Amino acid sequence: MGRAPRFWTAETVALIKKNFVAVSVSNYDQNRQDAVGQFVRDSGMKFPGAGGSHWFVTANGKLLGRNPKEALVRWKAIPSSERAPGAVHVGELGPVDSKRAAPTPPAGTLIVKLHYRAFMHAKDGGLRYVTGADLWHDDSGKKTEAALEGAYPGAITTPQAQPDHMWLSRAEWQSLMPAKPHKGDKFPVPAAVANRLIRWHLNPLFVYGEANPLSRKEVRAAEMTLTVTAASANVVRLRLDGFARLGKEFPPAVKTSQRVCLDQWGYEPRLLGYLEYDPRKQVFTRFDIVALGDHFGRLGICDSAARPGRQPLGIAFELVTNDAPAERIPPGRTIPARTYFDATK
Amino acid sequence: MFHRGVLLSGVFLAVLSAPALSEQDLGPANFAALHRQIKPQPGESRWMEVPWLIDLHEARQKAAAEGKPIFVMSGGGATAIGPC
Repeated sequence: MGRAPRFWTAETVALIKKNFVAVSVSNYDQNRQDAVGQFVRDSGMKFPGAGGSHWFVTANGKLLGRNPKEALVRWKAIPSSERAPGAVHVGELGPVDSKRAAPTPPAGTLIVKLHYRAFMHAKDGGLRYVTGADLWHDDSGKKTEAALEGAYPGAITTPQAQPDHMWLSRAEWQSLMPAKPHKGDKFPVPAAVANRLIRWHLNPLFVYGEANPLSRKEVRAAEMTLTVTAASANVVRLRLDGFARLGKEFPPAVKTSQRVCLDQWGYEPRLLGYLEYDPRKQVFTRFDIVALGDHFGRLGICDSAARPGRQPLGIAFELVTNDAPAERIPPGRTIPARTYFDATK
Repeated sequence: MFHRGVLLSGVFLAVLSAPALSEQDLGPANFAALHRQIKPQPGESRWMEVPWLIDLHEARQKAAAEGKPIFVMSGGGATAIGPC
């Protein structure tokens, strides 16, 4: 269910925005040994590991069902004295189960929003977005997502752009800025930042769901440099250039044919980025990067859909400048995110 | 997340027809266009239009204070609106 378009109609979005407090959780929350986990278990909600789920519930844990319109009817059937603002008392959270709760960004963290996007080579040589017919679940192409649409109407079609976040600690983002920048200065992206960006955020498997950071062996080659393109008292501009060769080399069969690879993958993006730094405020004000290149093989770790041959895959990075809760979601999967800042991992 | 996608609605189809740039176009002149092209397009991911909280306890407190019920969306491996 999750993000399935059959659920997320314009009408449903409006209904939820007007009448409900919306919260996104992970399946780990149901096992938390704290007030959150207890609330989930007491209410009767069950969070599956794959596919996601929708639930409607009151602040004191009474289930209202799984359909927004029906939930609203049930909500309104509750005596108004129990529904009024302030009628329910929710106590303090108390000790948090830090083994299962999602980590939060440490103070001073620079947060960058990412979106992953699978494209197809268009006949005119450009890029086009993927459709369900492009995504194969077997090597013959008989089992495409378009074919599966009959079994799961409105649930399986084109992959949406997949969000994620990159975090840079204060020391890491400060390391990107030379002490005395001069136009024309060129230097490698510091190793800790390069390692983070490449292994956590150039993993193409994230385009179709949660994945793990790449192992060091999966990085065949990579290079990223920063060039100072402007330096004044008001602004320092940096251009990022780079490339990466990740996973396996393109097998000859996928170079020249319609064959897909469900058992391996490779990705060879080029990177271009524009960063801006305000020396007076000592903050980055722009952090735009594009990674774009050919990819082959499976997309994601869940169902291993693949596109025929070599096809483009892009990743867009941009600075988060608001404090919306949704922008504080940790990078990657909830549990591996605990080791995000550990350079030895 | 397995069943994740978008229907090829009329709105989204109009957007789908827009791309014309290629990987070789990644340069200063087309950087902004490619950056936009990768990001979510209008009508593609309507769930992104919702003002999500990501903490269930905070959601309970807000719901109680405002006199509203809670909508919970769960994901596997990560929070439902994250890399899930």
